[in-house]
Amino acid sequence: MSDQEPIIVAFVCNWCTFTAADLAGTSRYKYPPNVRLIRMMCSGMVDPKFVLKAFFEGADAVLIGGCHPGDCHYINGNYKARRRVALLKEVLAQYGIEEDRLWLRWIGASEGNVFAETVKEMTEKVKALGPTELENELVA
Amino acid sequence: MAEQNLDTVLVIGAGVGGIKAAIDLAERGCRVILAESSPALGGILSQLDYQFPNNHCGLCRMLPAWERDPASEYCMRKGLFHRNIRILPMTELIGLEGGAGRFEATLRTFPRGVAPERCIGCGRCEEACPVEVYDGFNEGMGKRKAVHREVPHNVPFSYVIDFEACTKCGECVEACPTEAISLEEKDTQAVYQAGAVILAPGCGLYDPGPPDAYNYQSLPDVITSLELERILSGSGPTSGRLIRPSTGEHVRSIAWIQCVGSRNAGRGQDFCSSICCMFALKEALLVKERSPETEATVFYMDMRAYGKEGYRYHLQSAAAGTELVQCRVHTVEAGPDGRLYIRHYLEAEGEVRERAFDLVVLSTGQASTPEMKRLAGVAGVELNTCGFAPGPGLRTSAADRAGVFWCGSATGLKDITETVLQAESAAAEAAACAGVTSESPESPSPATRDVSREIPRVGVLLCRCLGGQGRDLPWEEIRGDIAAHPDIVDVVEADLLCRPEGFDEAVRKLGGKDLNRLVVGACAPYVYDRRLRKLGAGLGLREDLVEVVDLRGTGLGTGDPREKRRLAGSVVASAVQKQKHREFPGTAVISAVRKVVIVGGGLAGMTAALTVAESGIQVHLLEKEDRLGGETRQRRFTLDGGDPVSFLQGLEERVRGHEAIEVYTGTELIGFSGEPGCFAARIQTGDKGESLACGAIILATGCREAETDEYGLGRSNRIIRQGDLEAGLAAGRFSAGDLGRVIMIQCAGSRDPDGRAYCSRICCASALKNAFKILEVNPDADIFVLYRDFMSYGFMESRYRELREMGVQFITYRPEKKPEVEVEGDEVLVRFQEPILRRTVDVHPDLLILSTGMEPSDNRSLARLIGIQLNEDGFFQEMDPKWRPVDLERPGVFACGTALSPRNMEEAVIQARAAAMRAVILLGRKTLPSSRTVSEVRQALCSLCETCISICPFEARFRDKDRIHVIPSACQGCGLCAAACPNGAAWLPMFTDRQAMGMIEGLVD
Amino acid sequence: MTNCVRLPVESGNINDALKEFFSSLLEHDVVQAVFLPMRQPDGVMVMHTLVRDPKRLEGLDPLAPVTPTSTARLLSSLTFKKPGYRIAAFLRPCDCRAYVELVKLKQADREQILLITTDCEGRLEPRDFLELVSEAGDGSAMVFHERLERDDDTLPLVRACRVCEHPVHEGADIGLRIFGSDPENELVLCAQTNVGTEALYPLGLEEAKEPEGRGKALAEIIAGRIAERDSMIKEYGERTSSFAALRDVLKTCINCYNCRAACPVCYCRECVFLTDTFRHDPEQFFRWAGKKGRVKLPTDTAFFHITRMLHISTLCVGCGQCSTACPMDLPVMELFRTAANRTQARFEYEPGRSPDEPLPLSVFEDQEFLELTAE
Repeated sequence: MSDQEPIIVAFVCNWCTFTAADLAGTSRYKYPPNVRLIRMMCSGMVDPKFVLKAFFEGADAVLIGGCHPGDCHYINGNYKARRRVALLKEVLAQYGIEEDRLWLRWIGASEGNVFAETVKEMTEKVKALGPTELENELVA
Repeated sequence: MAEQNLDTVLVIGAGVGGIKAAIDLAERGCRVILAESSPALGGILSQLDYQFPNNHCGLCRMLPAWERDPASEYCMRKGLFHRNIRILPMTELIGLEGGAGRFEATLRTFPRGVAPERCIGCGRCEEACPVEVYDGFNEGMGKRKAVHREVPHNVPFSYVIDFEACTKCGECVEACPTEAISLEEKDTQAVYQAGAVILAPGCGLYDPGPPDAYNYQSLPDVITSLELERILSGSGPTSGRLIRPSTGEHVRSIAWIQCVGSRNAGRGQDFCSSICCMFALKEALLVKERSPETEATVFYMDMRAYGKEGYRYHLQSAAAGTELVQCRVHTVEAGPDGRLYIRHYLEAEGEVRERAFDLVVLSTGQASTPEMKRLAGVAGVELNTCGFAPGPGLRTSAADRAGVFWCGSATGLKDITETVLQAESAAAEAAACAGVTSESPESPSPATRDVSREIPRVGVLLCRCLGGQGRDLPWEEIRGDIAAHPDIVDVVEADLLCRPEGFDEAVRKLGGKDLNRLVVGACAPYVYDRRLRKLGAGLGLREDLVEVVDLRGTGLGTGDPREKRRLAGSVVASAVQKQKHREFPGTAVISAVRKVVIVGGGLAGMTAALTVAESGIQVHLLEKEDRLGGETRQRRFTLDGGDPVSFLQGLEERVRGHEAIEVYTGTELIGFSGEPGCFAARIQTGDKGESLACGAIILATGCREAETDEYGLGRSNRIIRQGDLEAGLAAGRFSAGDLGRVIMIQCAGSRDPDGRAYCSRICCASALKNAFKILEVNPDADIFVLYRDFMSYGFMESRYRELREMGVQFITYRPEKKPEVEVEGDEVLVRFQEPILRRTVDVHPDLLILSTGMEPSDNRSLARLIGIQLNEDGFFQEMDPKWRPVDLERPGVFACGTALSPRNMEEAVIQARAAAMRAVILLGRKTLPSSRTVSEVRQALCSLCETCISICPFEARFRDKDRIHVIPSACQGCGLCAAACPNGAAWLPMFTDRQAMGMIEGLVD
Repeated sequence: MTNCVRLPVESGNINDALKEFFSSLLEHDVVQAVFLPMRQPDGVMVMHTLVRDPKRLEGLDPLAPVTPTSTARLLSSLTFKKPGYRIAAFLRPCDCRAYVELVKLKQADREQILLITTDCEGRLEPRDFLELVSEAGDGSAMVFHERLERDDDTLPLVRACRVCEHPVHEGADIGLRIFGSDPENELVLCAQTNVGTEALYPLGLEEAKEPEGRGKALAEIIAGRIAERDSMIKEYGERTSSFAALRDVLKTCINCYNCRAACPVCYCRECVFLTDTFRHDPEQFFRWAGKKGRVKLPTDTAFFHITRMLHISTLCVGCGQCSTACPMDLPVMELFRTAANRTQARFEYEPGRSPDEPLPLSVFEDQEFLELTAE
């Protein structure tokens, strides 16, 4: 599968990052087709097992996008997401899963350019890393 | 030809005020026509917001909290979707006939040139357009074409033609792939019937060019506060770097000049713009955060950071290193070194100085606009002498027209909190005027079949257009990939689904296949969402069984055909999984008790009671004392000549006479339990207890005039408080001889970090009105007002100016050098620094008046009882002070009046109506729609660890014995509980773990 | 605050002394029940037993070097609803710490518990304990102690105990002193909380001092165990430094979920891996097999272990019950402590330290983990 483009699963919060992704998708900020969006109501809604699931299914990286601190539609869901990501990163790092395979980014609704840049940058980093070992979990 | 019915409210202007009013009315069950002269929603905020640092926004928190159509669950940049709101962009009011309850409004809609339902935002017209003009949105930063997007960062990108610039060359018509453009469109006019009208057109900002001596136009480093917002913004022209526009160098020193175009009667700007001081303090804080070494200096006359949190913010900004210089600014000139020299006069030192800065920011204030004047003329309402409209407060102005309500900055610039309050208040009045009953109509549900027990049979409908981006996709292969999915019954293709012909074709193709789920792959789902969901109706499917996925906004624009095929296939597969694994939750039912308990029978409590009662909902009004009126009973006159005594009497008569209001005097709340829509309130009158059922509660426990141990209060009968003076003046207790020389000391015990740390907001107005009264009794009285910052915000400023002109001496003092007071027998000595003589003077006044301000009633036990928070000063703490300013932490509990924040009578009335509106909206519905997402509990899996309770931001979960319960009216469906619960005992029916896992699998092929 | 009492030990029989102590707690109505390790009627295995009758304390054996199942979990089954009785519970330090976590998770009650712990020398796997009993009979606890005292390397102490840096628990109400003491002749019990002081007071026991050599002995033991712990974490950090390596360690896992059943802080009533979320449709397996050509069953093995690390590694007290429970002898404790070492450090969280310390994922601060979002 290594000849294929890497896949980034992006869990984007409905209010800010999803809007930014749309803005990017329909404006001049083109970004690579590597990112697959899942609209969540809030970045705080991203269960860590969704992130693991994405990796086990073969995602090369996971992006979680939320509102800037202070902007969360649900007051503080993004702060809770941040703690969860801190935990995930610690555990994944133990098993050699590189730092750049899981990003948390605050991307506001008007920041289509930031979304596009983020995806571009992540795609480049992940391409350099190559595929993960996690997707082989299913095969044994 | 008139359209619509009389329970319709017409809202003019879709800025924060107009949108908030429209949403509240729509939630209340009114039909709303929201007309906006520009093509986009959001007003000044859409511009501001783009520039705010960190993009602090929060606009979405205005959206309905209790009932939310899935179509309105989007960022408001994508538009506002509510079944009761009809939005008319590019439309203005040109005629208003009839009266309250029976208006006939004539609206003119300007041609857009581009049909929004056909425009796919591809931008080919913009490329083709040969006409370039100055770009108004970016305030001179660059150019745009005649065909353009009004707000560049809004989605969807619906284009619009600027017909003033357009040469009708027709290039865009040729270029448009969807035949959306017509250059021959004309203005259209229509007449609408409406029961009430809300005018929220906003106001303009002052142009600080000549004759003002700031050299704004000639010096690039002299900018306005709005321009500084843009420079500070991460997405602004300098990417957030604080640099001088002239040289690009880092800004080492920056100065704000306050009151540019405000407090300037000579320019016809005889008012204070109210928000500029807070704005400057905020900007200074941001600068200090960005660049701690940059010197930040604010040149001001009075630092009007008034009200509940104002002084704390003032101190916070000062503590961060902002230098505050009280002075008058003469000129800004460029020096030979290229820096900017501010000449200013320091009153305390009695001298003129000059200081140099890298950047000068002008805090420009409000200005009336021709549109405000035009609109007032059409509506038949008079503006004040400065060109602003009357607010929705105490109805004292004869210039009012019944049934027409103003809100927002057209009544004077205001911050978001005050705008939202005014909008809710105006909405409450408009709803009453339009005769809306408390029974909001339930959403009509079309006949659908129950498919919850059927095996999933998913149909897929693909639109091949995708805003012009879909043309070169390998549709055959994509279709083949998708059809291979075992759950998919059929894959149907259509073209231009957004057009009637494409839509009809799709319905035809999908019929007769016995589908029970439908996935539609198209573009920009939030635009077409509701329409495409209607496809379901044709198949007998509930709306939420139709999933619309955005195939366009997913980066399909680039990549090779193989990658595009992969992407399209995976996006559809993911949606199929989501529908396949969906659950069928039952309808959440709240049986609302349509009664409201109001604690406190003062001005705010009574106003709220009347507003609630007029909507047809019962009120129990509890007053601790044995008569109604509260602290307002002490008010005998107002600054603008109003008569609060008869106003309050009239209000009490209406309250007493209203059949839906039951008044309890000598009564206190002693117990409170339950959930929103269904509370039980225990009350006690004397030794008699009683239990009242209610659906919501409003706290309006008021305030009292504060005491102080400063300035000898209580040690001489010559030393009294403003309230005592008012009572004495009203009772005629003072003769001219008693009032020969009067000294007033402002901020007695207020704005003191060791005492009352807040500004009471009303004391300066009290000093003004009492000074006027004293001068009525003794025109020769010598009056000294010793103050720190004189808070005559808004249109009060003109009264302040009048008194100065009448010879009242306003003398500042610093908190570190307060006036001294000595009591010598019957005499009182006041010693203070006299700025003109520049020495300490001793004055023996006949009366010394202390402005002690207000303090909230002691609400500690009430707060504990109800389960809400007080702020450090003892005021009730709002859930979200900006966007939901009368909602408290516990859902279904609201507050208003001076127990929530210091405010004057008019402001308290506005807040009371806002609180009443919130309660009425809550109790306006009996059930929640089935498509609404409310989290649930799988009791069999639940270990009662209460993690979900602690993580819920809305207090929507609680434990009762051995079960966790969800309060449907409080739950916002954010899913934090589900993510935090380790085993899925907390879950969201519309987004289950299985759905999420399936979607992820679908996405990763 | 230390006030200690002394229990005289006659002819090396510590259980008689302890029996008198616990019986006295019941008789003075300091508590209405005691919960402690007792030899079962077969006279061999030791299990925790709830005793209300002071005359039925025969066979108690609190220091028997075995804990066949998590006693924190057992105690929570007595207290997840307010029991209405005061209970004196005798738990090892690791179980005390696990119990504190369960209190935070609302799975247990602390108020009605008189928590008694001991300086912990460690435990044996049940089968090793049975072997010891067959040699040493009733006196196995003292034999275990003596063999440890003389650094008997042949004693198969479980690895969790060898690397346990928390051989005492200061949050318990009363602590039994072993390190640096002379249990052959006397047992010293010290109150560590006000509740402990008040519980000891009515018993009228002879006052004592902290054993003199305890501080030094404890420091040595902790230093030794930290060294062992660090070398274990280093070893397993390296052994699982890639996902493939982790899979290699887990290759014999049979998804029996015994580890989570044995874990004291894995508190779910039903593991999410046994719920519908992971009960895949048959077609799912075929899709997977279609995607990669084949699929190994059971699936979700690493998924399960990593999810458990995400759920509870911050709360892991290192008791080792997971490894004890594993039928395939997987180094579950080693994997967990290696991960927990990272996650607990990340949140500066120490499980069991204090019931007032909030669970790391239930709180947040404005300005933290800023590097995560590239700010």
